[in-house]
Amino acid sequence: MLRVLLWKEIREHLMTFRFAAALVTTFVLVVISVWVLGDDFERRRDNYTKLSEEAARATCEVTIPSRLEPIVHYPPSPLGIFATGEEKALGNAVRIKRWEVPSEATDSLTDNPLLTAIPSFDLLAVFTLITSLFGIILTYDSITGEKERGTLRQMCATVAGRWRLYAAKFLAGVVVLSIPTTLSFVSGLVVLRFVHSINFGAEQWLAIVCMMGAGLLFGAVFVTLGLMCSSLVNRSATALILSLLLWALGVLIIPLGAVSLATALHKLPPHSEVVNLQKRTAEEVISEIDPQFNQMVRERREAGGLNIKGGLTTEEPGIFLLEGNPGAFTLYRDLIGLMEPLWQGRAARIWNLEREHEARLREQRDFVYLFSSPAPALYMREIFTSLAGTDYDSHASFVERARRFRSGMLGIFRAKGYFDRNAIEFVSRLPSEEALSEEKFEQRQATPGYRDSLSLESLPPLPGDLLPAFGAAPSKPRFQESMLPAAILAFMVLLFFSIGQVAFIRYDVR
Amino acid sequence: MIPIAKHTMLQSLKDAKFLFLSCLVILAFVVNAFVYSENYGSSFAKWQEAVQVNSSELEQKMGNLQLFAIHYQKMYKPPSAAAFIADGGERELPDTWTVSAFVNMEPEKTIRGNKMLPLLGRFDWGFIVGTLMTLLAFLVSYDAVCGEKQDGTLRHILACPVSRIELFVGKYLGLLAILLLVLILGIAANLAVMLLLGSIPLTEGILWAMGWAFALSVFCLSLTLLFGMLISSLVSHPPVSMVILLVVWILITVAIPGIARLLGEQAVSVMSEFETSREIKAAEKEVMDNASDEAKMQHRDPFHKDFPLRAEMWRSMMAAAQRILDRSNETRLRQFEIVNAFASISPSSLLNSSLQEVVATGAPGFRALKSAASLYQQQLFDFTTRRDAMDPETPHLVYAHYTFTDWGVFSGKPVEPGSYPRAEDLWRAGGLPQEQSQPVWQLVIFLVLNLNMALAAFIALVRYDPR
Repeated sequence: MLRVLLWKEIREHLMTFRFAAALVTTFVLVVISVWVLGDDFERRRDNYTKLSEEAARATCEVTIPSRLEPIVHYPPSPLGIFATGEEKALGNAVRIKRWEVPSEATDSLTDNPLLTAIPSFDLLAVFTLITSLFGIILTYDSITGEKERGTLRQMCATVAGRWRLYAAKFLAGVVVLSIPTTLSFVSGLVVLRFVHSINFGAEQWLAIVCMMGAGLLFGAVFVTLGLMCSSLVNRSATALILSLLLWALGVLIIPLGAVSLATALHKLPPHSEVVNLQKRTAEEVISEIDPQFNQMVRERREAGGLNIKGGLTTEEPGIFLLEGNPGAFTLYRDLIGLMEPLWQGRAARIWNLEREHEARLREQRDFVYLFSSPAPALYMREIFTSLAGTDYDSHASFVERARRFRSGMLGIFRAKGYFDRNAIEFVSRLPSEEALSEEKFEQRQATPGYRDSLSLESLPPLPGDLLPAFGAAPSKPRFQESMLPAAILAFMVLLFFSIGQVAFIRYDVR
Repeated sequence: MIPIAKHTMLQSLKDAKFLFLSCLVILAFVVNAFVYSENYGSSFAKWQEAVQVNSSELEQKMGNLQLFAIHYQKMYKPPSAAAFIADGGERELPDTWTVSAFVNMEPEKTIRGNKMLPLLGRFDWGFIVGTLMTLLAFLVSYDAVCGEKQDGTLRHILACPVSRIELFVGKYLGLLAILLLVLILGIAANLAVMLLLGSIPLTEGILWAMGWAFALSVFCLSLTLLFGMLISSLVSHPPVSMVILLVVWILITVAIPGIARLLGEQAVSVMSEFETSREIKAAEKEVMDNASDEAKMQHRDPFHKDFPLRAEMWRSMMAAAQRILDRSNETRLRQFEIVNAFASISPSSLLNSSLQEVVATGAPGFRALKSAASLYQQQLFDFTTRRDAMDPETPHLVYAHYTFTDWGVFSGKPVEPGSYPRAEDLWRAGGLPQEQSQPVWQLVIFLVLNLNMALAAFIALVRYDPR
């Protein structure tokens, strides 16, 4: 019986104008957006390859370990074609500095910062706005329309029963809505395969299937919403307005208003606290180092000559020594021993403050989520961006990896004794025994043309395997994160379905 | 004509759906006033703090004109008090420009919002009118003609001594009147809340902006209303016209602006920060290579005392760098503006971009910041040159020579407090730029579109088969 009803409903839907409109609109918009975002992805991928090669080359050209400041890049996620998320608004490169814990990827090396203000039009946007809209357009008159045409009484008089009738209408809505959705998604994938030659791995295919499923689930929410409205009121026009209103609330007004309202109610402390601390602590460290350094210089001057050719600044980590006598080299070694703990302590203090600030940002975000929790669009967004790896948390995990890379780098430096006994090799390219021998110094000085040939560029580059590779892989789809929002969407379907079902049982068919 | 208008108005007013939606719109206006009052207060305080820090840093350099001139100042764009009309992504756009007397750098974002929040759009007048009220306009007009046909009343009306033009104008005026009623009530509520909270200064400039915003909104609503009537008189069943209008509504409010970004990014390519810095290095190297051997030698040796050659080289190096920076900023801005231009096919985007023009947020606001930065740099340079001219002891070579300030390439006399130009003075109260633009062109475009649409809708009605 259910199958007969289902077939009848599906056939009826397929013949309507709205189905044709849904099919054409979804298809055109999905193909355009996938096409253009595919191009965009290829451009960003090429840019990423170019920039990371360039960064690797720049690292290889460094001649003195203390001047190492590798840049690590975050590869764009191919699934970002379907859900751009925050990927373009957040930075995608971190400069690993010895005396700074990276708190975010600031360098956005590819995009126009002015465009961050405009949201991208991706598959997620098509699903959120258009599939949902057609979900209610398909079903708003399922019950009221039949009542107006007078067929509802006859339907209810059959043996099918209201329960089956309602279930058939629901299933037909979902099946019919899945046609344009699936078709356009598949054609988008075809475009990617044949126009752009973008290939996905097995895990990414699974994520794509999950996205598809999430799209259908989201569509089902609005099918049940339309049906619910249809069984709550008597006239089609009223049902349409009611469901449109709920649609606008769930898709546009609540998500947008929640961000505005929550940021107005739950204010953030200014980030200038962190910036001020950065300035203040730098001054503190410098004022602490300066007298001791001057003292050290004075002592060495008195003890015996200081003969330096190199660069030194106490404000920046890039100290190096091209040539000098043993007094100069020990001065630098002691300076490193003096500066390193101070700068590391400062970095830790700033990072603590940054972390506190980030916790407060998270608080505000939770507040926004609380405000927009009735909106299904929020959950849809979470599912898509966490599967595509373009949400804030994927970005944060990249920065976390950059931090681990930094502590790995520091670990290597420490293991090599760069901050204490081998500090001479850290700031220059001369082996310690050679640097600390007065005799060798005089020999070098006696070599004709030696002093003039000294420059940073003339030194041999560092060994390539000094630092491990960063191993930047695009972020993996995070399936666990998408479970809860999917469950909430399923709950919404169930809720609207049961309300509608109860209302339909009590419905006056006359 | 008048009775038809009255009848249409009354019918809509009696309608529950209309009342419901208009309450929603008015509520949206109230929320808008609340949100932007709160935000303006806090972002204004942040701005003041930043400006304070900048001027206290500048005051430390006032003992020496050279230090003063080469000091990198931060020029902050004041938050726009009129952002409630058109936000234009104020919180995401770069808001700071680094300026010294010799160079203005790349813009950056320093007064930050929460980077974790999704970028969805804004709850400004542009959204309320361009998105919510256009939906309202479509909802009141989708059955204006075909609904009457379905009810069978259209034949009766046409049988009366009422010409079709009277019917058309009457319907149009009636529907427009109720939309205006909602708009005016909304704006009144908006103003009331803002006055109550009192953190947004309702200066003359902002009141003017509100006036322009009202006029533009009326034209935009009238255009969507006419389009609704056109579709309504092209099809014979209200559900069909409803579906068409909803699809069109989605297209004009969401799809077109979104696709415009994608197209704009394809149409204009911008230089990345990385490429910019590489090009600057290359240009500086080129100047170096082309300089005379003597100048090169002087440049390498900081103790060389012959200034004019070195000054010449420094100046041309900085000019080359500035040209590249300007070009990179200009292409970015052009890409942004082209995205806006693509989007302006849709009336609600046209409304948004012209509102941004009025209140100087979004692309126009960024352009204002950019021109203010270069103006300020010019002012600082002129000030330095003027002060230097008063000092008889220098060779008057005003250029950015960083290493030794006591050498006297130009005057190193102290700067009197209050005598120098200040970046904040380039903005009017409420964060508006000195010259407020008036969107006459956009108004004319809206007018022409309205006339065309009215003609099309009228012709469709004349050809409509009322049976």
